Amino acid sequence: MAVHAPTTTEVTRAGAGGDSPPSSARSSRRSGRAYRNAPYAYIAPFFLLFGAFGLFPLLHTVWISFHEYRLGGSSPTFAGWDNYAWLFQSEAFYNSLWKTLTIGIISTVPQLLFALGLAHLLNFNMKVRAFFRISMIVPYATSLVAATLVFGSIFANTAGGLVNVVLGVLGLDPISWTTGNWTAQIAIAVIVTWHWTGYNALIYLAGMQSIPKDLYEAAAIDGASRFRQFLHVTIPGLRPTILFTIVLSTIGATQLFTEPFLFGNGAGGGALGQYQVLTLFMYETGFEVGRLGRAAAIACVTLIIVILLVLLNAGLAQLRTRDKGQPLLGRRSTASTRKAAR
Amino acid sequence: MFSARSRKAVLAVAAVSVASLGLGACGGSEASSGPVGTADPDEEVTITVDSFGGIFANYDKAGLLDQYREEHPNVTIEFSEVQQEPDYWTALATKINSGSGLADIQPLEISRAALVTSQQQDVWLDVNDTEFADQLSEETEAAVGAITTEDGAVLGMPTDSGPMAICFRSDKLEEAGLPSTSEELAAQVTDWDAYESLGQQYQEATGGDAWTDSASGYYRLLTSVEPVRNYDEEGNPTWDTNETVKPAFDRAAAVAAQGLTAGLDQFSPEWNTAMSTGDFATIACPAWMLGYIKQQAGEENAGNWSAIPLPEGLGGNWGGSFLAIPRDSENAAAAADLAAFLTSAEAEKTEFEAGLAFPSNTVAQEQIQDVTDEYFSGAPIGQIFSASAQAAPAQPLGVDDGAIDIALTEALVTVEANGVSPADAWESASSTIEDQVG
Repeated sequence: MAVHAPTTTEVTRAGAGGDSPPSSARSSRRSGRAYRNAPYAYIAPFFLLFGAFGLFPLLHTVWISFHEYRLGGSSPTFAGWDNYAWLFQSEAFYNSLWKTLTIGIISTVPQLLFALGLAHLLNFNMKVRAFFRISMIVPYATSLVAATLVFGSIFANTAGGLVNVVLGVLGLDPISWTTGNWTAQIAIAVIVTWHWTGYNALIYLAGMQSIPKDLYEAAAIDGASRFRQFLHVTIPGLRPTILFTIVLSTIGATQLFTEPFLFGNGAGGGALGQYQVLTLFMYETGFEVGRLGRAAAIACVTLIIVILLVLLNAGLAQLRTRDKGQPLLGRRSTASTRKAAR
Repeated sequence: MFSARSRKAVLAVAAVSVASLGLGACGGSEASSGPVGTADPDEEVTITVDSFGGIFANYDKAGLLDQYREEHPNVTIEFSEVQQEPDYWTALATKINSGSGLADIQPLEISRAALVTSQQQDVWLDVNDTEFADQLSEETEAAVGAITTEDGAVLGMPTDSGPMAICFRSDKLEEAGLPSTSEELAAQVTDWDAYESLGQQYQEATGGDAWTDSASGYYRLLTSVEPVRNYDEEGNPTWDTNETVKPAFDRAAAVAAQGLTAGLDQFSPEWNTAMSTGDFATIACPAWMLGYIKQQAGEENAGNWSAIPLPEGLGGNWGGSFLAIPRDSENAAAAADLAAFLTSAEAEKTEFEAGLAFPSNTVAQEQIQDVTDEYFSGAPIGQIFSASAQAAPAQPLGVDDGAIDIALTEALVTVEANGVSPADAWESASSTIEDQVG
């Protein structure tokens, strides 16, 4: 439980350093409107760019979602809630929600577990550690399009596909990867996992290195095995990092597009919609069927879903820290006040 | 600067032509040639082209672009091309929505014609407003009618048409002990049932090889010969009730369920490869497929392919394109001149003789009756495709033809690849169409 103390005090100290006292002291020295307004001028470029490329498209999408608007067609006409009414009675929408969830789970869970394990291994002192660490990031640095195309041929339906060759050696029949429901989802989850595991492992590794070594030493003296150290020292110490990666992966899974799009040669997500995730459904509706108003409605609903998921994750994490961490929080504050008092 | 001034002048002309839209198709008020004047032979001009599916690559191959450049040394032609029409259309439609970025010539595929004529009247130049309006009378009524708006504006010049035939692997049929020349096979394929039972014979003889490439290709073939497809004359969707779609779907699905198809996605890499390996024996063959097969099957398969006409003297059409010019184009006059040249009888004849595309121009159609093709074992392709073109019905098109076709062909894929029963596949296609189009 004491695990957190050093990190948290560091955080509070850093927070206190950047806080009001020094800046108020400076402003009392040179007061003036120009000085007070200067920060706004400095951050204005960001907000101008954000307004043009972030906020405006967002609001425009919301606006379009209330209109009947065809790709390559005439100008939008107001349609009220029609697009949303269509969306919530569309079977394809619920199918895509479900596929997003299943592909999200079968890609995110193994990916984070692998990443955690790999980071734990890389955290040991070993030779050529830098080499292993760099090789972790190689899949992430690879172009997703190129990787997906390679995986597309690895998971080819014919007996000549690499996975099917391996299955053949094992005496199994070749699998028609893209046409099956779960086979296609698994193939896509493998691509996602391959691409993101190293990235998450590096984040975990960074988190692990902020866990003080003496905790491991203490655990080792108490006779804890490497695995027990991992369970009882590493995992609790990484909790905020894990939350962070879960939030990122959740957003990533909701926005999954390139892999299923290229895997299936189009936005249909397979003839049965086996892997038509939300974004593919949106793309198909907008750019293949050509109903931009409906696609905008899907985009808005997706945004709301992402926000809800992130809030849910954050809420769950809060619950967990409140359950287990109540005394810790108390101790945390006393520790920092003690430091501050000194 | 000269070019800047002339740009303004052209813009003014474009503005006039946009303004005249409100007056309907009342012709030009400036000169006899209409709002778009004659191209100036002395002015240096660069015509940009965005294209798809090898339309301009074929013009290039047939030597037509070089010929035009020689005759018009002041003209530079810059074309770029993507292979897949859906990708092209998405990019094009996005440019139209955003109001900028169109090239001087943009081909349009016939399946988009209904949408173009009902919603993009303001975007494209009316060919009647150019000095090449007369050339339209040489084109087939079906082609011109497809791209004509309610007000009578013709938004593009027809480049080609896709009369249907059936292409087959003569070498594979010979191996299987079936009639393998164009004449012999045509005599055997007296109707669709005969075509399918030959498929069963082929399958028995070869130990299970596929008779045709895909159920969706066969479905295309079956629907192309009927008077209507997804829409009726008034533009109402009738795909779920008419005499074309459901019977054709059932027939194609039955063939798929029997395992006579190779179950390949048309235009996928596997499908392309199968053209050279001979994984299927026959394929629905619109005229533009000849060039496609040659490209994919390669020189080593020259003489292994042949073609027969559709049974019962039927004719059908799949595809065809139009060269359209944006009203806002700065080089509208020069672009119209080039487009008119490329769609002239002479040019379309040249293209077919090179085995690339079948003319939509009736004058050219009459001149190519005797063409045969060595690649296709000397089959009389001129005769076969002309007959099909003449027998082809002018099917009414609809705004959502594309979405309906995709839903139905995907349902056929589930019959082939996922073992879905034809009845279930029809149900799911129906609900998808209701969902997307309704």
